[in-house]
Amino acid sequence: MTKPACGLCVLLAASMLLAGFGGMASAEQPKQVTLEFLAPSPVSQVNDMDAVLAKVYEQTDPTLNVRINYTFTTFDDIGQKASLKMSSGEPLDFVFVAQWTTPSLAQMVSKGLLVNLDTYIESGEYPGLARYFSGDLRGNNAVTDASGETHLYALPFTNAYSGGGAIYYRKDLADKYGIEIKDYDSLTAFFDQILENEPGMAPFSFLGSNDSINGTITDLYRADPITSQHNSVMVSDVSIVIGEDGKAYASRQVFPELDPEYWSRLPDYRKAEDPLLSYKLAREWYVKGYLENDLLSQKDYEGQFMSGRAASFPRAADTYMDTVSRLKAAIPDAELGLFMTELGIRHGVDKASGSDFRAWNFGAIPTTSKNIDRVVGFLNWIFEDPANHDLLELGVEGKHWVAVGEHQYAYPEGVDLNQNYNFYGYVLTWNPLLARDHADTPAFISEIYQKMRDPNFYYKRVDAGFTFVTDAIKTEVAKINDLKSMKRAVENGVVEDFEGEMSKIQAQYEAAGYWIVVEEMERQFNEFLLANPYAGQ
Amino acid sequence: MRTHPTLPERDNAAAALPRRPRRGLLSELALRPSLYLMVLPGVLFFLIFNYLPMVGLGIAFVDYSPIAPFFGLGSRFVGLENFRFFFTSNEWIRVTLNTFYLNALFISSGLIAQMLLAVGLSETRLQGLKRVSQTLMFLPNFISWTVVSVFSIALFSTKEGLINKLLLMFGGKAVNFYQTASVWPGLLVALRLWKGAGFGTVIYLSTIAGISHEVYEAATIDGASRMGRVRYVTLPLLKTTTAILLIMSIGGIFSGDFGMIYALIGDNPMLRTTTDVIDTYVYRALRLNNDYGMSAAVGLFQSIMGFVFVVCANAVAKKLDPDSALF
Amino acid sequence: MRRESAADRATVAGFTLVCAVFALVCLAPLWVALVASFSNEYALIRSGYQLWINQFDLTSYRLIFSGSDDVLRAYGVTILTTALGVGATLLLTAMTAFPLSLRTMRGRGAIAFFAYFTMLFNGGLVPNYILTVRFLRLKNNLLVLIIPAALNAYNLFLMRNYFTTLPESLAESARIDGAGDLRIFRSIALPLSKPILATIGLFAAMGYWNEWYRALLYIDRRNMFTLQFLIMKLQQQVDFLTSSMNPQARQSLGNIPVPTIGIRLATAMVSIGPIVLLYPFLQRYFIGGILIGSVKG
Repeated sequence: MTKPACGLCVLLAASMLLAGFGGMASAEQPKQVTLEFLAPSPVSQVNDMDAVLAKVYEQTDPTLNVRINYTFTTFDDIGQKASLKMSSGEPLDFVFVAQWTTPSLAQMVSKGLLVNLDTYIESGEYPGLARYFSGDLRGNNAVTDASGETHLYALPFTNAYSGGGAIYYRKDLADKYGIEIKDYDSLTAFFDQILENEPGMAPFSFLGSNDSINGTITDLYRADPITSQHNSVMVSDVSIVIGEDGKAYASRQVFPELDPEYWSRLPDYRKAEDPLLSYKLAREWYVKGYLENDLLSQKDYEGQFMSGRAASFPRAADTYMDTVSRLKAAIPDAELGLFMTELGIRHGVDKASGSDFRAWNFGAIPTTSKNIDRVVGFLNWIFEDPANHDLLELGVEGKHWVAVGEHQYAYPEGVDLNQNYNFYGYVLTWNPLLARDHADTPAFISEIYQKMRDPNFYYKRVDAGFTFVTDAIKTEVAKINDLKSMKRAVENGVVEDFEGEMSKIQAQYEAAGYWIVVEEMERQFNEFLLANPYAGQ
Repeated sequence: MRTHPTLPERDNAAAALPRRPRRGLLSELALRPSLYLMVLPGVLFFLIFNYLPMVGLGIAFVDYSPIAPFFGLGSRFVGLENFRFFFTSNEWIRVTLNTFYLNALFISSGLIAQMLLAVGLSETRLQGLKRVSQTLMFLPNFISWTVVSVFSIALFSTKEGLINKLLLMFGGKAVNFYQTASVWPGLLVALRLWKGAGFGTVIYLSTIAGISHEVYEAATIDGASRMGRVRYVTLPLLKTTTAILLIMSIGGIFSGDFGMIYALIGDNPMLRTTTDVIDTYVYRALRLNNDYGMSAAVGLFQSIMGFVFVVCANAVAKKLDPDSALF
Repeated sequence: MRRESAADRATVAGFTLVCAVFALVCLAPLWVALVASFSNEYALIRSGYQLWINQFDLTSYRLIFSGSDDVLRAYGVTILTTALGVGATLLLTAMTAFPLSLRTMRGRGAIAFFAYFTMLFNGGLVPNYILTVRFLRLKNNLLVLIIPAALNAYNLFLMRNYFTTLPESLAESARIDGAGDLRIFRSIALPLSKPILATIGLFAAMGYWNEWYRALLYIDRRNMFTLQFLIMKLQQQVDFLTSSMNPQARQSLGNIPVPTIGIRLATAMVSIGPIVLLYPFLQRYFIGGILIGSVKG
């Protein structure tokens, strides 16, 4: 923040304080409290935050009279820091949580650390929250607590219902070889050209140190979008399929295709396929050289692409704008192509892509907070009026951003982006109904984004809203988590005798108590289906 | 100094002392209060910063909840439940043995290399070279394992790796390092020596620096060769230092170097047989459902095992040479 | 002094060679890293590591040193905590170690065991955190970066081991002259212990200089962040960005290609820097022994 701006803040704050003590406050204005917010942030400070908060306080002071003190920490430590603060009794009023924090959202809920928000939203006193956290977003982000009840314990912050699975590729090279990538065959033809003509460049690079690619390859291979009979899903390493009787069956096999019981419940188009299709395809890609030799230790696949050592890589479509600018900066004469792997989006067909409507980021109120009502009131204020939301997410209109229509924004002329307000909406404000894109976003990308934000575009995955409660079997779950990465060598085509390896892995899983987990999963899932029956989606 | 030069003189000095009559601790306190006053701050320090928090060891026996009273110990008591995931797994014996084996390699190779380098440095007569090379040896210690992993990929990669390029150049066959488990204990030892041995020499150098010149001079007058000086003067004087470093590292022999292994190898399933240690196992098992009680349980196991080994090692050392014992 | 034999010369040459070769092995990757930290990230991935700068690029260093106010203040905090911390460590360690080195002190074994036990068993993060924050009230207090690291059993035993190698006859003769234990400690033991004081001081300096974990846990105020904590945060941010789905996040770093490798290398260089500068001053205590005879009155 620049010096004059800082002085201005002090003046503002001082004048507001004076106003507060000057008896101008209405009778119902409560005593001022400071709310402690804890969130992860990619930057250690948010530029101009004080100026934005001053604007916020102008509006909230008469009714809420709060001050927000944001503490930003790192992504790796947010969960630990939150639980330490709770255990030491430090004040903490609003905290970022997610499935991927440690402890996770589900663990925090099962230990009774978070406030149940349903009671507030249903009370009718908080219309802003009720409006923007409803329907699919609210129901499917509820979490099962220790008493077995399922409630919304954390506000889901997301801009879309999926990331939009895609492959980014070097369009300039595809053009050079006269290939238009539109399906599996043209993609592999592109790879073949790269292998033949571009020495030192891998056709495809991905995060092999962590991810498996066989599923993506198979999705690409299946050309036609399927709009019904999505009756199988994988939850925590267990594959579930729903039979015609409406009951769930959990595969006893780690590689579910090998379980005849599982296979027989799959829809016909799947049964027409080779059960080992995805593993064979992955092996084919590896042997042909589409995949990198040392993929199991690949950590920087994007660097490979940006430096011209890989011709394509998988990533969600919502990073398009960013990826374009980075490629331009890295290889000025390169061009970026985007090939959607999500068939529903690629073909523009409704109900072919699935979503569990679950957000990736949440915010919650710890039960240890002494200011629960004020926090809920503040959250409600954000969503009461889109202008309030935009103020926190994008900053002061006219100074930090300007509106372009209802769904887009731009930066005012002459704004230094390095100094501009840069709050990260996923810790407080993101919502599919309120999302704004930068005005430079190309039309075809905007169209994709519109689909990603439309709940009706997706079919509801059968596990949407389901929480697997593992407290009773956490020993087995831990032992199985240890084995997870064993599958990766098979799923990425690195192992030649993959069928032999699969039976070895199955034996290890069984020895670790896999079937105990499978049976528990089947039981819990069938219980869940009683209230949420499968509707053939 | 009139003592015989080739022997560490303190032995003689100690032998020359009259034996003090044994007194009780209290009378000793009264006689030499300053000594006990000197250790008091240290003892209090350990008490506050180390022993008070040890109540946390109890977390291994509860279903930990952050908001439970009394440091979390007020959580539900579950007995040995938290230990089950580790001790009923197929892996625990393998990872425990791996941890022990790798650490034994690291400790022994490290001590030998440090001693060798320190003696080498002290025998080098070119002052400039001595100073420069010692400073250079120091530097890798400051490179984090993540950075080392960036280099190791450049070295070991199948197609582009320097080592495989050299192998091919000299008519050998390329080695698929990231899929060959058997080569990794050796590679890990080498990388660890590169990173730590130079820095480890400091302790030995300071010990050597503490040796009186007169001892060496006397040895030379007695006709000892250079090698003889090293063998009969320097190395014996490094014995207690070595013993103490050894015993201290044995305490950690069941704690795997997670930072190193995870940075260099990550979660590569094909290298597990030789490189999987307790800490990487626990990380994998608990990363998705992190459970404080369960990781505390394994930590307690590692501490107890280390404790048993240290007490044994210390007893052996005490028998051989009381000065080499830790306590 | 007798004349050097051929075998002696060979011995010296052998030792010299071993040291020189190992030093070169240590230098080579560091040189490559230094060069690479000044190179463009993508040029680096494209053409691999080289012995000279491929495409000069200061992005990594710019990222580390951007927000210069913060960095300068962090330098100040780090220098302050390092200086005070090294002093506290040396004082506390030497004071505790000296009595334990005296064979005549009763209970030394028990105290040594008491100290060693802390190397094996620790209560873990939660009780430490509660103790520090709730009972010692050290949250957002620079003392938290200094005091809890001032004494550890490892340093204590190294120091004690060195003290035991000092000739006890010196102490005895001083005692006969009427010196008390404190005098002996101050006037005889400490002056003879420069090598170990330099060693422990070096260890402590490195520890304090590189401290970030305590800052992460206990410091929420930006004006008390340490240098390494700022750097660590930056690294985590960069790691996050490369796995992030969020274009907005990258914008905050000026929309430049974020150098994941470059940041790590530059960070390593930045943390090595001060130690390399400090080390030559300490080195004379390690190389070239001390003259015990001259101390004896």
